[in-house]
Amino acid sequence: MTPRSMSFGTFLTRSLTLLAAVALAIMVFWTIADVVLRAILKWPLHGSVAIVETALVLVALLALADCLARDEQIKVDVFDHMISPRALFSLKLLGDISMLVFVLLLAMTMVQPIVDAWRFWDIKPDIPVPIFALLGVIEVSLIVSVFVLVGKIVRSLRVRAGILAPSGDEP
Amino acid sequence: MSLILNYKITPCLLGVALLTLTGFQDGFAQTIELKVSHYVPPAHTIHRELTRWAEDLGQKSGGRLKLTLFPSSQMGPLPRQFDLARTGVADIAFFIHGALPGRFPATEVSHLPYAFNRKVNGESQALNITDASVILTSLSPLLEKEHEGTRILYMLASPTIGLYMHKNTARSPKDLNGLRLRHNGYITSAMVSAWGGSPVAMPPSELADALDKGTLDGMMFNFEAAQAFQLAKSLKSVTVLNASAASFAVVMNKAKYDSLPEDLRRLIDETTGVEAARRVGAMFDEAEATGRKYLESNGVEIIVPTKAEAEAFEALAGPLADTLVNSTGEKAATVREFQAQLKARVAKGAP
Repeated sequence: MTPRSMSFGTFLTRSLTLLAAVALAIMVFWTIADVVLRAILKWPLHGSVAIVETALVLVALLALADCLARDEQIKVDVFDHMISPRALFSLKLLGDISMLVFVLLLAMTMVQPIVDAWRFWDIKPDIPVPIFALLGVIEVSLIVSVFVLVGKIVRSLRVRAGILAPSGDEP
Repeated sequence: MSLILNYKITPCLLGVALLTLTGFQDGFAQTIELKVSHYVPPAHTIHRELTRWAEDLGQKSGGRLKLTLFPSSQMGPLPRQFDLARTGVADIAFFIHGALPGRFPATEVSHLPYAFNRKVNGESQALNITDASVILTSLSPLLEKEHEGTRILYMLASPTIGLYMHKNTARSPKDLNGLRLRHNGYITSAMVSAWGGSPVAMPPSELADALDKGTLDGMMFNFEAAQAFQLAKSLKSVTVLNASAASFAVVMNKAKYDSLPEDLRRLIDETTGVEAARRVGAMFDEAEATGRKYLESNGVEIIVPTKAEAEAFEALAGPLADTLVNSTGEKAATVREFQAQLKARVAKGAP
């Protein structure tokens, strides 16, 4: 259930971040257990590399939507104080649009591999995880990121046009 | 007035457009570009062979066929190589079957422990890559169904898979106990488990780093790939087991092949097939010998196990064959049929 104080979009992005946090926890604990067991008992955990690899991808991509929504992606602000506010707005808008195109292309190129992995029931070589499920989770995250970016761009334009009051997060 | 213009000018423009199109097609031979994808570096034998083939086709077709090569997974990662050709993203691809576990159950019979070995003077001896590749390619019509959407141009089998160790030496399965070893498919994964190791799937391009960091203790590999991926500095020893084969195929998108003019299709047929497998197999055999020298010159110890030592490995891995074939479920009958054909051909030798 969506908490009343939270919009559905925020609930969705936060839920994906929560999943990313779970993946991060699994990755950390599994790595520690594997290193200890391998070094002390000569008993490495089966599938460790595949699990860490999978968790790493999930951490990076599941948290993407929330990161974009909070505007917490890595930013280089070398020119911010050298150009006019209008030019700065345009550059930031261009950055958001470029990011939207990139994420959209990424989401589109994922479709065929998901269909193939589903059709042939491909699994990860060392762990019995169907690849379509893994790619499907990533695809959901990318689609949510697309909506986040569209919302962000529309909001910036409306603030610029004076339709919305600025919240401080706009470009 | 405008009606007259429309009636007079539109057909004229259409006529000019049609004449231009057909005229150009008739007057100039159309160059057909084929995108070739693979995952190995440009120093690898198959890249050199594909480069040579591209020149050959270009020359024999009078410039009508142009092959553009995309090495080192430029078009997609290792497990996507076959699907790139199947879906037409690439026109031709070179791929390793082990990257798609379970997708090619009959082809995977060639990976079964000691599938290309036969008894010579009471000792189990593996075929060389040339003979194994010729046998596999000659049986490839039986494998077309599981390579759907593509045409198999030729196949390669490298029955020279051995144990390549980072800091250890392996003379007995006991030496592998608790060690993390890279495999090249689920069958070699089962073999590593049977010998007491912990199997890990990893693309060849990541091996040097994984060995140096200690993520891996060793791997199932062969000499030519060890040289192509420059692994000498990361290795202490190699145990020559010839216990399993890795299989590869060069495939072409079927729709693209069918769309080619007949003479170009014939040209592709004439430069591929069993004879190509024999030629490329021989190049791989030569690359194996060169790769072995490369490792030896870099101080890597090459261990040829005694008969008793080799039998200790075979005793644990050999019985896996039946278990693995039975695990193919509803496809087991087809798989068994292919296994019987392969056994017969190996016993007879390469045609």
